[in-house]
Amino acid sequence: MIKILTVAQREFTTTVFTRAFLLGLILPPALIVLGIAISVAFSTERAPAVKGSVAIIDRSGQVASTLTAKFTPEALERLYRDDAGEQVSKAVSKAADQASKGPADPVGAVGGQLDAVQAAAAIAGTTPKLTLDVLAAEASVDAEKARLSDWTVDQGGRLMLIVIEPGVVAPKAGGPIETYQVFTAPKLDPRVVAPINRGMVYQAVVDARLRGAGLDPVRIAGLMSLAVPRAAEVTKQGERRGSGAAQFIIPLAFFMLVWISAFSGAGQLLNNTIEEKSNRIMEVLLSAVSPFELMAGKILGQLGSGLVIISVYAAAGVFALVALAYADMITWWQIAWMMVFFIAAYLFIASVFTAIGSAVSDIQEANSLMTPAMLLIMIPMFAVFPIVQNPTGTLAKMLSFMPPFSPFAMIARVGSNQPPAQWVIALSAVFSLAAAVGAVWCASKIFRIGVLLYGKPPNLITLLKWVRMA
Amino acid sequence: MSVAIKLEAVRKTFGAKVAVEGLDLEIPQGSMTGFIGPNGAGKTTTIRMIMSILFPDSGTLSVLGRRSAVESKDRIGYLPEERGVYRKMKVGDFVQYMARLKGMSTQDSKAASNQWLDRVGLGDVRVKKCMELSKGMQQKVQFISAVIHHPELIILDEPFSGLDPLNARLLRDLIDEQHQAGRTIIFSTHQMSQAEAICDRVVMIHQGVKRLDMTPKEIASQFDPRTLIVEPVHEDAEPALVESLPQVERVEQVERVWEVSLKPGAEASEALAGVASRVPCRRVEVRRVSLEDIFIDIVEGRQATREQRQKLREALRSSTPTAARGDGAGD
Repeated sequence: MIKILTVAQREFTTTVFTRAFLLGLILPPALIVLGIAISVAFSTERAPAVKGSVAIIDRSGQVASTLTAKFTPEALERLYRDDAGEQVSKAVSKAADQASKGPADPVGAVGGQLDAVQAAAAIAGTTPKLTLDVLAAEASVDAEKARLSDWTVDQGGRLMLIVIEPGVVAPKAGGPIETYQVFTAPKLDPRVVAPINRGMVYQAVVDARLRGAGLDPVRIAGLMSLAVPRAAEVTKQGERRGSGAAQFIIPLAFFMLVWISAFSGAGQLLNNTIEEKSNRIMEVLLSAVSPFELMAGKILGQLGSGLVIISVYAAAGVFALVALAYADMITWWQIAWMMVFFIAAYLFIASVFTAIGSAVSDIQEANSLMTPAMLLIMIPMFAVFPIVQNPTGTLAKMLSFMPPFSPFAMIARVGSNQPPAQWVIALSAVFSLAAAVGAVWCASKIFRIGVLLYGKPPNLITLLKWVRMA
Repeated sequence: MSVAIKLEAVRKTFGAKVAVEGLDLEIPQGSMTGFIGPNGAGKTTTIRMIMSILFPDSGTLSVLGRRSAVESKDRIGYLPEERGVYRKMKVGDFVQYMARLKGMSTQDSKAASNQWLDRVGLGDVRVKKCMELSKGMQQKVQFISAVIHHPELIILDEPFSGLDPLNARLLRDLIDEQHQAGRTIIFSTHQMSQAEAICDRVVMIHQGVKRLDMTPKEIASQFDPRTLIVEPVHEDAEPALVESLPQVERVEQVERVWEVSLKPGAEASEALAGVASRVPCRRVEVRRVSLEDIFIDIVEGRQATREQRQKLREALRSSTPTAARGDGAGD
């Protein structure tokens, strides 16, 4: 046992007390935060400033005129500016607010706000430069459609064709109520199409229907505008804005902690084992310790480095939750289970990786054996999202008792807002740990033979044969 | 004298290949035994079985009175043929780590490490990384790692391979010192001259089978000199004059020298006198029997032709330990 601890101590100190380990601990989360910040800062909903014409064939005779009236440069400017869009919604909710308070005219208030928005939008930036082309009602759709393919970003041309069916406002002679069709030029940015389709044509058709029913569209719009409030959560500590996302984020965080810590510890083990083999140090070590002592020491040492990783990240996570007054989102027993499932997951993966490391002479040879091991890494990744979305579903229940995936599946369920009963979690832990012990046993068989072998690397079948040998 | 290692009818195979067959071996305590034989003979496999790194298919084994070396690992020092160091570890740390793995306390291992490194002239490089050392220096570090814990039994697999003559000399002195201190030493080599120079016992293995197990004295008495080296004064002297002597089996001419093989049981001194009386000689002498000759005799038989002997001799001298093997079978 002392020898195992001596090996473990070396494995731990040579891994953890290095600059690489410190960087590896800090860099990935820092890069993720940076990546999110960059993508938020630079991503835009804004449509590119393409030019061209939008053609309309109005077979109902009731939509084209409304659309023509709406299709002003100012309206387009307003339509395509996402910041403007946000201001519109703010203005609308403000107007609605006023409307609820008194007899003031909500529609007028909205109109006043919109003018200011329009003026602001007109000053800045570029938006698509579009013109409206009203075609004859009896024009051939096929012929007009054909022109769409001639559009180019540089030259412009027709980029959209809207066909309003005859019965779009009111059904014609017992027929069904109809809709409209939209055709676009190839590879036209969807951000150009959507505002015209949803914002303009849809609205023009609805307006025509309202007028047909004898209602005033402007008045209806004013009445319909209503700011939807966000739910407030009432906790023992007080009220806070609703955290619908937290119910996904917490189990995902538990899962990621286990996944990252288990694989970084095991990955290090693979590298170190291969390094020891390619440096021909194995036999020197085996003169002092038995193969099992060596392997156990190495696995134990990297368990330590994995525990450092999971503890640092978990502590940071708990600190963040406390700082943001979300401390009630997790409990200590969840963290305790996370440690248990981390150990089970790590032991299994570490065994597989050590066995592979012991059987090959260098990192290139390891690649062919790593393919099945990659499944071990990837399957939990694919499975976690369905499990988080439905923690009591069949997939979640099934994987919770299927080592080596059980630790990952179960920890995601433990973190969810519908955690299984404690005895179910305990049973899954027993399954996972039993499988891990089995994996260590198999790995020790492979390790004993593998560490002294050089030359042609064994394949998976040979490894399994070694397990059955001796 | 008690026995340090005892092997009885040990057999080891790797797949279809028989690495060691029916090996009986007794190594007395305090002896210095050389394992000799060409590469692939079964030396490393035997040593690995003694070390319990490999396990025999059949047969029994006892090491320092125990059934396996596992139970007495801390009493054994082992320098394997496949030996390396942790490249990024500091020299002092590496030696200490090995000492601690052999059961020494942290404090003792530090003191012993410093003492040994100073002794072999590596005191200055204690804080350097192992990869910064020359190969000779690394070999010394590995040797220290093998003996730092005062083992009763020291097993060295090809300890001299890759060393320059100066370092080989130093290592030989270090090994000798351990021997003087009463430790049992086994070392394997394919260089027979090394074994000849320092061993008090020689075990010869060929193709997995023990072919010889004797002290140098026994070898000298059993393998009596049977070759005379004759250099005639006249280059056109007739070998047939010597060949007709009753003690002589055959004569081979190598450039200006004749190698005269004697019949089994023939007295060398009589043959010497006979040759001198028939042919005027610049030089006539009894050739000392080398382990190499004995080995060749055993492997190829006494009737081997000169070409066969020369080929085997070259193979023995040129062979260097192979770094990589496919089937796990060592020498």
